Amino acid sequence: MTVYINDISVIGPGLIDKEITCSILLGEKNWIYQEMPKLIPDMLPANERRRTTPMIRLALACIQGLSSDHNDLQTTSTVFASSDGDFEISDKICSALSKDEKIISPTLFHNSVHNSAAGYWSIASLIKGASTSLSAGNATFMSGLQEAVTQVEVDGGTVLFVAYDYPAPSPLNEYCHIKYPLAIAIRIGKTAENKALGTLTLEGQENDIKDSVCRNLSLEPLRLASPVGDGMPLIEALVRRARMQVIIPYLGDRKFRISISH
Amino acid sequence: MKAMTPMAITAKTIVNSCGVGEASTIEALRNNSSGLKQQAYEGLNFDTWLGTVNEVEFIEIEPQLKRYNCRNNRLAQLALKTDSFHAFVKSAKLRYGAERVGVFVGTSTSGIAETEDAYSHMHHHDTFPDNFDLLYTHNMSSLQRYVQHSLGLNGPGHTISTACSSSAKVFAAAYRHIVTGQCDAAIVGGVDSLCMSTLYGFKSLQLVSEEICRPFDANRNGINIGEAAGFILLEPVKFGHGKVKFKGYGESSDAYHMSTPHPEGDGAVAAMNDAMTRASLNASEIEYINLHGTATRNNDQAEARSLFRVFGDKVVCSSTKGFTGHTLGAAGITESIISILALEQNILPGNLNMHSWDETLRIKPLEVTTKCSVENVMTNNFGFGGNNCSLIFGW
Repeated sequence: MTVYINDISVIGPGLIDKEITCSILLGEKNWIYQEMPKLIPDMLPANERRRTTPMIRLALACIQGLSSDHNDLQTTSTVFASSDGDFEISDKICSALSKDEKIISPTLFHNSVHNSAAGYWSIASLIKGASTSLSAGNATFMSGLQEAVTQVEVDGGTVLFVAYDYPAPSPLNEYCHIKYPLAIAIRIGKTAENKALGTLTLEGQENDIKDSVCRNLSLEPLRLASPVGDGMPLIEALVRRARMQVIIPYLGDRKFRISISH
Repeated sequence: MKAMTPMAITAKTIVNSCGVGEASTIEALRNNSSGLKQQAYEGLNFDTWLGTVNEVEFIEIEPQLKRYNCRNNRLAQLALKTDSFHAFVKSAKLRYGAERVGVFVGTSTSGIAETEDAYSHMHHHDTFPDNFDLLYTHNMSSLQRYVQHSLGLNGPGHTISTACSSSAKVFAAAYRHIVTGQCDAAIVGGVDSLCMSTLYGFKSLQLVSEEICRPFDANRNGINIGEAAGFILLEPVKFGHGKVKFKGYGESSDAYHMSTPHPEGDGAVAAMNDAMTRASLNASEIEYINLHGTATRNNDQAEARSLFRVFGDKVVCSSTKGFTGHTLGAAGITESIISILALEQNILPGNLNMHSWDETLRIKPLEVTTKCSVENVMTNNFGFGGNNCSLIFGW
């Protein structure tokens, strides 16, 4: 299966400013951890925005980093992939339920669904197409990308794919595997837009092969900090316009081989 | 949008408050007898009716998979060992190879009950329990990983979690992976188990009824929550001659509100129309619709309006939430299997507890289960975040 990568966006600690992010991905600068600022997804109406959590704002801000002139309201679908979802919400709900009164607010509850970010995004964008929210644990990035590419292959049109994960608050963080927040958004289509970055082909699965590492070795801590980090070598390859193959971990011990051409 | 290649339903298993196995659900449907009970549940401090599966208490997770131990995965295992499902999966594995059978499952809350218990433990003892395992129980992917390991499969898959449409959308995902050659067959299914998060969460939205739920009734006042599990083996039609087929799917977003459906049912209309386009069927060829029919004021009104826009007022339909309760992330698979049973058993399920039909809805569901043989049926599932899915099954 071969599809066009029409645009990409990344947000994480130290990857906020677009130009700086680009020079880090090109290997011109080293990545350094920096505290995340409060993200403001201003496409959401204020009344909806104030109900959002840092994880929802991370996902929305990342999609907002894509150029928006190709969002066809009729033929755009979305795939939202997050390994852990919003553990800040789980923490608040489970804390409230451990007390005698057991009072949960309606906003807390409707934010608890795994498709919360997708719901807010559809309200903000008015995109009414199919929307999938999924998890595959450590294989979440690859599984989400596979679903997005598969949707484009079957139905054509455009798929907005966003993978995002956010560290859990204490005390859940000791049981969770996400060290840094990170979101990657990719707009995928069966046809090339004017500024397309290249084509992506899912070549197939293999065992006994090592995962691709980041070419800019300073990004390695970010790649290893969450399931979303698995996508960093792919994003680097797309920004560098390098014709190359990347190996991304999938379910169990299996890996996906992906070819990038420009 | 292209027409879809139908896929055969070659095996299925269903567990809900009506009982364990499809014979129990068929009997409940035939007898118009609900699985819902007014009962106490540990930790619950308000009155409601629940659809519990008590047999799950006696299930133990396989020793080699014990990290996955939680009520949700125990309920999954109960369904997997029912209705000879293992035997059908075994022959599929022989036919295609373990790496060519996908697993696509849906849940809304996964094993969150374990995290609820851990916080309760923390409240009393200042620490989480020693065996607390967030990533193997509460993490949404737990269900897919558990089912895949338990069945010894090694194909593609993931857990879809889009609230109450989760285990309807798995049919679309599995179909896409099969038709693109990434697997030859797939297990689709869903599980949701009782937990305090959904009980108190829906209570906070004032959507839980103290009485038995009454979809499409003039006095309907909310949902009853049930737990359920169900799985289906989806195979190419050439290996399922004479079996009911999965014929069409439609997925859409309301883009309207996080927890209230679009008042005119715009998203639902789009999902139903897309499902019919993919199935190459028109509205007059859909002979029964299993409604989402949760029994909240807003859901039933929006769904009735959407149905009227697509089918007019002569449509034959019912909500089976009065039998099973609202099984949330398992509603898609539960109601898909009920729709398939309707085709196989020549029955159209009744809409239990509708004592005084809400005429303003204009759509009147069947009051009791009726004998009738039909060719094509549709099932609707709508979730929070405005996430809609309609499926079509037929001969």
